[in-house]
Amino acid sequence: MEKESDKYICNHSDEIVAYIYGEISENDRRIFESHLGACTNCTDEFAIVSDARFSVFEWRKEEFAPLPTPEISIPFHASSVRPIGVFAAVAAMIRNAGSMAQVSASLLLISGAVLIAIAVVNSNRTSEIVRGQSELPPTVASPIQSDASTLIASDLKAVERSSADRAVKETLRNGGATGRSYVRKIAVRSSKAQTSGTPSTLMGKAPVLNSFEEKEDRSLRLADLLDEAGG
Amino acid sequence: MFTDLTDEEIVNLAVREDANAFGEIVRRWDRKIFALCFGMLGREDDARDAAQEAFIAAYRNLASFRGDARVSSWLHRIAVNQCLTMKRRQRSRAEDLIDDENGEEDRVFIAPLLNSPARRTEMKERMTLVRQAVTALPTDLRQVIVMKEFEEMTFQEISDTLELPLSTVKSRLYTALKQLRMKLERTPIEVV
Repeated sequence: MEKESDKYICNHSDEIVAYIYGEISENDRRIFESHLGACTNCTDEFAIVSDARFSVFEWRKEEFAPLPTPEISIPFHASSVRPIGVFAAVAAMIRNAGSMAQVSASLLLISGAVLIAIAVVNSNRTSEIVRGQSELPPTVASPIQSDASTLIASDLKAVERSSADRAVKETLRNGGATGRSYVRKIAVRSSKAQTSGTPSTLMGKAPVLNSFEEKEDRSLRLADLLDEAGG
Repeated sequence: MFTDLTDEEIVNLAVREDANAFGEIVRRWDRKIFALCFGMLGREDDARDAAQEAFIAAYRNLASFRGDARVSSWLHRIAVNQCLTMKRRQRSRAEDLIDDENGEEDRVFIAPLLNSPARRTEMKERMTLVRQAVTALPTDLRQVIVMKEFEEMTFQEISDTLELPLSTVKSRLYTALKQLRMKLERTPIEVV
């Protein structure tokens, strides 16, 4: 057993373990080595600790180091789980993708799907706009009308006036209700002829008359009624 | 023949009468001096060379042993100085570690063969003892030894993992190794 002297026994336990395991700074190493060469107590302590440390080192080398590393098997494998939906499947594919090529392919698929969805949404919107436009009531005399419809409306007025003039002349020539009815028919036929090839907003509907045309039309109807009443 | 003598008696005998008595000193202290050199140098082959040099130096200086210190301390001192010399040599000439094959003739005694059946048996018994001794250590001390020796963690890493101050980690390791040495000393291994 070791004999403890009455003199001061220096304690360099921290330096001893640090030195043995090579975790000592260069400066501290130099100081400790210098001290070790001169201090019997620290030399003996160093020998004791080195001996014990070497025993553990040998044990590790002889019994532990030759052991093969055990294979760890986890019963639950993430790749065996089936994805629930399309998005989960794509996410699983990206997660498990082992190469850049796979990741790129996944991204391309996603991009393609997004573009197709956008295209479908856009086409739906366009058809809605078309349907909406077709339901609008057609107007002829309104000053806010487009250039095409304004042009057609003015043409229709001109046609009706000329028809009315002819009708009056006809009446003067022929007399009677027939002439008036004929005027109306001419006016409608002319308007129909003028409206063929017009924008879809004006198709299939009779033109709306302005106040002057309305008065003229009323007077012609009145004349018809009077004729009919008179026989 | 010399097994019943103390170390000091053997050295006196070797100085006065029989140089071969020193062989018993070598047999008794071979492994411990080797362990000390391993602690100083960190490499097995360097430690082996240093240990042999230390015993050669001790044999050559037998006459200077005055008996005022223990033989073990005397041997420790010689071994430490040999290691420091080797380190200085390594630092100044990194590639000049010469295998002193010619020195074989000057050696009066030869260290026991490492691969002899006796050494292998001794090694097996020692491993069992070490395993039992480490297992018998208190948990906080065993933990530090395992983390340092098996997981090869630095003191700082152990400190961070166990949330202990650095000095506490070093102190625990020092205490653990001292206790381990005491347990191993209580059960000496007999070489057949």
